[in-house]
Amino acid sequence: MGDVRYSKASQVVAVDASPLIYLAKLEALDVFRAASLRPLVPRSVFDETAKPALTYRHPDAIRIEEAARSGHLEVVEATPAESKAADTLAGRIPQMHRGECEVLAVASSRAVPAVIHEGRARTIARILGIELLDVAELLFRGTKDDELLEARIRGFGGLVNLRLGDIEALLELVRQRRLR
Amino acid sequence: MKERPQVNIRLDRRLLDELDRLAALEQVDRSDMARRLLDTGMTSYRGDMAMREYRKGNVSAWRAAEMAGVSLYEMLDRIREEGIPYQLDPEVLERLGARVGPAPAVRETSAPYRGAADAETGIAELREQFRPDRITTLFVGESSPAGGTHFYRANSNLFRATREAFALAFGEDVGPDGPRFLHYFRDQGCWLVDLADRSVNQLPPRERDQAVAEGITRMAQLIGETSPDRIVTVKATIADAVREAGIRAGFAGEVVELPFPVRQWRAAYVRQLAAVLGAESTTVFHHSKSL
Repeated sequence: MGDVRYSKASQVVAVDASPLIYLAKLEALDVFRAASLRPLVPRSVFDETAKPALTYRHPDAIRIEEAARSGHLEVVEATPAESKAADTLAGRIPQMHRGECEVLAVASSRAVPAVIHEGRARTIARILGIELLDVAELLFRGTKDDELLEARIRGFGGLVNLRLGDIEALLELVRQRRLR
Repeated sequence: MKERPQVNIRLDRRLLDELDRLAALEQVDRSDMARRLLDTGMTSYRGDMAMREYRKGNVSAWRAAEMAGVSLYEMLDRIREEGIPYQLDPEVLERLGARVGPAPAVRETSAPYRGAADAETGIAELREQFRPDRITTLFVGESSPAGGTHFYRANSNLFRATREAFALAFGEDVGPDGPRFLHYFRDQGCWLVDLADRSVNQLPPRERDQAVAEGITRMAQLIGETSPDRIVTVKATIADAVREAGIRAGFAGEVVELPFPVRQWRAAYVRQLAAVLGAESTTVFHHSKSL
């Protein structure tokens, strides 16, 4: 991936750790740019997904590091107010990691959608009025080639143990898109 | 030097013998062996506890990784290896359906429908294509989804859950793909119609209720014309309206009331519909397994 600069027209989205890891595993971190989305990665998410200690055992972490270095991902520090909001959320919802709370706090304070995979975090996001995006939606929006999209959907289905009915439904949508 | 408070615990003879046997094998003393086993045991226990909590939906994967003392990468790998399923948010499929739009098999206006009448969107025409000659089971919904998906386009939540229920009742060969299941559904005498003749799920509550109420007369006429053996309502809130239509038509058969198959109600819908289908398989449905 070469150096990239997002246009002002790109829609900003806050990205949680699991979606980032799944996209890295699918070699699909380019979907943000292709879908005209500007991904903000809170520092705690970046540290968890790209910290150097991980890179030896998890080569996907290298992809995330490279994506951040080349500007495909924008690593952001939470403001003091966002950090405080994240701490409050983490205190109230101990079932979630503090890093997920930081994603929610950043998305909420900056009024941007969040890319979240986890069911509980998605529920909290809805309560906070945060617009949600799913990895499957990112793949559809950011993969123009239908064959590649089909491969990525199958890969994603395998990574997350997606139910067979859901995989079929997604592949059916790929077929419909191909027909258009 | 590490602080090592002394702890006394009582052990069963069997455990103590095993501890000594392992210590001898590893050529360490009993205390050293016990420390090693406690360390590995606690790591393993923490991991199992985190997985258990994740499996129950009590914690997120990242929180589970923290509890287990492993990276999120390792936790996601473990979740995959253990086959813990992930269910796609139904809203994601609805949004994607609206974004992709329908296949151009049937003439229609651009999706999503946003309150357009079924006759204008092509849904009415598509529904007629799958009308059985003799209707045994009339499925009644509230309206076409506003998002652009539809049962008869084989891409809605209702379609997938209904197909799953048929597969549960009769086996996976009820329809290996969407169009074939729709033909199977028709061949069993099943037909899905809606109370409202346009999508209502984006309408304000009062207009939505009015659109449904207006459909009662039309539904009564349809029930009278088709004389189904049974009616299945696929949304709890419309059951009274459908019963009212049945009374007006003089319908004396069974009315089965099911929840709409979305979120936590999906499993109940599939289970209940499968039970209804299974119970009636020898009399109403004509699948090879029931003959």
